[in-house]
Amino acid sequence: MTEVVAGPRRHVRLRATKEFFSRLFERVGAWVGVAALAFFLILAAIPGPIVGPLETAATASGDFLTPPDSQHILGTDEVGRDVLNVVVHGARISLTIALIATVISLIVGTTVGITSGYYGGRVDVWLMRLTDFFFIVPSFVLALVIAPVFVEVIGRGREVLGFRTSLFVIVVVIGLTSWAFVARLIRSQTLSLRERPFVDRARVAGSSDLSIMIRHVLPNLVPQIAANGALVVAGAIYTETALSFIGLGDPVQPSWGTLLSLAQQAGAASAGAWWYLGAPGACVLTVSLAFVLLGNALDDTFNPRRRAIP
Amino acid sequence: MNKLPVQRRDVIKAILLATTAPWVMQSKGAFASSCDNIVRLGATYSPDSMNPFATWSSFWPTVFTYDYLVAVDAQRHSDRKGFAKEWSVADDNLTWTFKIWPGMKWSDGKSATARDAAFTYNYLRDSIGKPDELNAGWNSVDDGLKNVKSIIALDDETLQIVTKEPTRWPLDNTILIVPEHIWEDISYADARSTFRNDPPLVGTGPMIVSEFQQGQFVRLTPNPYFRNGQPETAGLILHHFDTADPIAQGLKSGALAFGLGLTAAQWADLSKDPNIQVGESRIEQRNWLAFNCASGQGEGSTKALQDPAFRDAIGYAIDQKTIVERAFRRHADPGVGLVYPAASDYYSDLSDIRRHFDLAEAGRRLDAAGYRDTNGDGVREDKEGKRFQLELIAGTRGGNLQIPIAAVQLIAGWLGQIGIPVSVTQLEPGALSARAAAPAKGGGGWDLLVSNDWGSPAPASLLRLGNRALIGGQNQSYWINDNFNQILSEVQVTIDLKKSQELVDQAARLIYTEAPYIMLCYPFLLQAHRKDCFEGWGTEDFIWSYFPVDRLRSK
Amino acid sequence: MATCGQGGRTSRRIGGIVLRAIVTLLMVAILNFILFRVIPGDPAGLLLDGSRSAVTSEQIEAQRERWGLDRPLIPDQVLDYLSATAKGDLGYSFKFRGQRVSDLLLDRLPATIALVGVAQIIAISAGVMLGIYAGWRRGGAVDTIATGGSLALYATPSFWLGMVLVVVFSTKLGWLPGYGAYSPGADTGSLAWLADYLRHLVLPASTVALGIMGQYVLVARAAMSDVVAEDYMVTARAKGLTSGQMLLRHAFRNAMLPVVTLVTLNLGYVVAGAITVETVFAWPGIGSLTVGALNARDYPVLQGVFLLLGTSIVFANLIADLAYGLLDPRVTQ
Repeated sequence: MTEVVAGPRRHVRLRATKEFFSRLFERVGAWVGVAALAFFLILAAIPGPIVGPLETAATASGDFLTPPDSQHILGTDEVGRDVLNVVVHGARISLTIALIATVISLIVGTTVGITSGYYGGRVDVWLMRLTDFFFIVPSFVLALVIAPVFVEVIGRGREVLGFRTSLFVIVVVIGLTSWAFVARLIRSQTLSLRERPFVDRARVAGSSDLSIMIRHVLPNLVPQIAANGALVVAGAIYTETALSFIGLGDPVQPSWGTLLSLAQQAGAASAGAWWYLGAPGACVLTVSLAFVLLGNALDDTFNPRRRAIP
Repeated sequence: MNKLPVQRRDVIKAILLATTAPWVMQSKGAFASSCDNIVRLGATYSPDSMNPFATWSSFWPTVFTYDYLVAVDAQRHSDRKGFAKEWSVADDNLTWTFKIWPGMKWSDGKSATARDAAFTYNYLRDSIGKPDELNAGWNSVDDGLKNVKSIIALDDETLQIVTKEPTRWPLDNTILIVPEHIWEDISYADARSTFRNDPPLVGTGPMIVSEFQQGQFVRLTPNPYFRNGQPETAGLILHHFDTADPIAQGLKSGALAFGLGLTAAQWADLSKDPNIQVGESRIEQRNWLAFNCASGQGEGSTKALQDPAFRDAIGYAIDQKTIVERAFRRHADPGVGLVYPAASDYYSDLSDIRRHFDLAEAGRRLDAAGYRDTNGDGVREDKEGKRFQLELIAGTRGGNLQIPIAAVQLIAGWLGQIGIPVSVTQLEPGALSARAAAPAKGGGGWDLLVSNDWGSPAPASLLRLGNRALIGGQNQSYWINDNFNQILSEVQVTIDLKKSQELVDQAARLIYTEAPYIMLCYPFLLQAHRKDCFEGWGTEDFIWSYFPVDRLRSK
Repeated sequence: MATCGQGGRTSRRIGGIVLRAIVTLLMVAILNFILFRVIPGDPAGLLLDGSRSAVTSEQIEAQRERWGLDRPLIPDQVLDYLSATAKGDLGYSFKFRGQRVSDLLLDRLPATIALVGVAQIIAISAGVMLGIYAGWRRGGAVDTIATGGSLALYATPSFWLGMVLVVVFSTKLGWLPGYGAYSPGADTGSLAWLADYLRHLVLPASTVALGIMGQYVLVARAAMSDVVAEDYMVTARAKGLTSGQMLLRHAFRNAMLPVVTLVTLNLGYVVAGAITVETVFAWPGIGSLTVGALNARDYPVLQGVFLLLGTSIVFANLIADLAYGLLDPRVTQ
């Protein structure tokens, strides 16, 4: 029975997807967003071939804080490193942190949202109280308090899952503090999906709650998850930048936020070294704007009546 | 109801006007660059309490308000004195007599006598061994104080210190003399923690702290009873900031007259300004690379760290000149031994035993010591056959000048080139003191530590890095050597300068050869002052005492 | 509008909102308690951290007793903690010895309130004006720039914007002071001091304002677009009312509700943004206190900050929820 239905259904889905993308790319925002993201993802994927290995003080070639010229098109930093080099390598760290944190956030948010919406009742009440808390308290403030404690507990210097501890902590903390927004949205969607006939049918057919949630409810939530995922990434980039800026980053594996923090420590602002401040900041701005545009476009396409950003 | 929007519009108009008003005022700052005879200083460290028994971080401004008995400056400069006018030691080298300035007064008008000095020392001394021992701040119990037999005021103008062994401590100590009539009722528990010593303070120095705004500024007013006469300026405001940017900016705009702790970039930028005189001064700070020499509890990832031959070989892989040039932009002296050039009585460049930078030589020495790369993967193995992978932690204690991360990167780079990979972790002050604590207190486990300390020119301070009694405190390598401690205890009971120079040199050579530390550099303190309002800025040693705030005057 | 039957439902709704706020507050307090306890190492040892000489076990014992750390964790310490917190006793700072955390916070609060308050006023007034104009001339040059600019501002880390403003207006042009709240050593209270304070406020307040302005522009623009499309606008024009007056009156009324909720809901994000902005401008508020505490691992202060921010955000949300009911009759019905 299922096999018979599977063919046409897949076909329908494929067509719907195609249609979705064609509608999506009618929007300028989507194009701009995707183009900017593709650009930065390439930088992050292969920084080596583009600008060579990450320069350190030992391999730095330039003079100190020189303005952009033909040799260093984005100038140099306070130890003579090429700013272009460190910014491109920073792309990798910043994007990795933001994307993994987003995945964590989406997983937690979706799980809480579906569970809450599907079961309702007391589960819903308690999960939503928890969500309220994380929703109301800004993730940056929460991360600010949790991150140092996390670092103390986990210890430093080691590598956890291939990350240096301090980066790992930032990933986890951002992930764990930014899911509430997703959870609320998913819950409200689940509430309405729960009442749909196909859920009843599955229940009558004897599917377990878990399998209903995963096989029937979740696939219908993918568009929301995607649209909001893009916004969560933008938020994660902001939180990462801000946390690193106030000194929770790792100066050895510099992200854009850490570079800004290093620039501030070196006195770049009062010495007028605009290139050193400008380059990482412009990158953060571009990437997070790209995600916002993409998220908006996705959301508009999926649900033209509601705007994700007011 | 229908009228509301109109009213609202008016309100918004008013708000807009109010918020744009500041833009309209483009006059120069109301206070900036007007010479109003108040000296404005900016610095990057932040006092937390005005109680010198409770904190290390209020050296400035308390040093403007309180006097040492003698200490560093009074021995170096005849025109700078402390609480004592003259001093002498008896032939037994044990009994010191200090003549206190006759008729000196505290800033509240009460007489300042030898009894106050005796009180301060005995206050500290009597706390020794008590649960609330006074060891939490600038005025702390130290070894010298434990060597004291008695401290008494013979009369108002005469203080007598008798020590158990001969020592220069009575001259060298940097304890700030506080008034008995303020401190006599303060319990030790309060003195080491919650007593804040709220302004206005009562002191004998030229400038008295009269207002303290946490995280913002300290205001000082001239002491009318200062023994050399009330200072000519109308007062002093010490601003503290988290970064040096505001200082550089303040100097440029004229909002600050003097700034301390500038970065190299700002220093270079300010030196182009015709109104500003930049300067750099040698200080008693040394930046070093320490090996974790502990064995057993708290030891590092390899036994090689405990082998002097291994540490010696690493010493050939550190290029102090490059560190000074690249990481400090030449604002430092290259590191040699324990003694910093600022302690000019004791400094030696150790030229006959000095290691020179030579990566090939470092490799040869590692080979000879048995740390070879036997399997040819580019990484050496230790004697147990384990690949080297060292953990380097780096950080700066609060109040000291930062070590640029570039210095750490350079070191990691060189070690990597000789087949010893290093992973670097940067720590903030709180975490640093936890990890670098004594192994018995949960510290240790790291391999290499790049950090620094800021001492005094006294031998005990010069040699403290190797003092076994200070493990986890100032001895950050956990290195223990009986000969070294023998020399140290001899120095502490030596008064003759020549003799103590010889002893310090011996100790410095011993620790240099054993190499628990590789000195990286002795950084300069970068400062700048504006030329327009005040004159009388000195050029040397303005970090140890109230100098030059007692002699600045308007131009 | 209010009828007898609705009274009970409304009060139940309000009760529910208040209860939720209380639960959230309690969670803030408990998280605070847990965080402090999971830090490895003895809190008493942490209290003695500043001392450089050897610490004896007697000293540690004395500290434990002094801070009540010798009593059982549950329930004594939890209850102690909660009742102390409720009384506003947040303990003592590690770094600033002998200073109450509550005093430190109160010391720094006015500067942050001034910064955030002025920034909100600028952002709302400028944002709403711009948004209404953009919505009126939808698709025009101003609209395109305002919408694009708003999105860009939304995506910009505000502290970076602050650094850029410092480089441009302070370092390069020298028009405005880039750091601190006032020139060193002014007499507080005088008129000249106030002028000086305002000059120092310009750059940081503009930075925070620009960071949040985008959202107000978008909200006002959306409200205006709705108004333009409404039927009664056509009617109004037919009645001979000038379009400008009408538009403004209706647009303002329409934009009121979303703006008011945005103001309160945004508060948390504004304060969070202010933390980094204060660092950039050396503004002596809660933000620079936080960063200092972070570097010194001054946990009591960090927790005090968290509690303060958490509480104010919860209250702001509470007010927003209640106000929403008052402003929008649909909610109560």
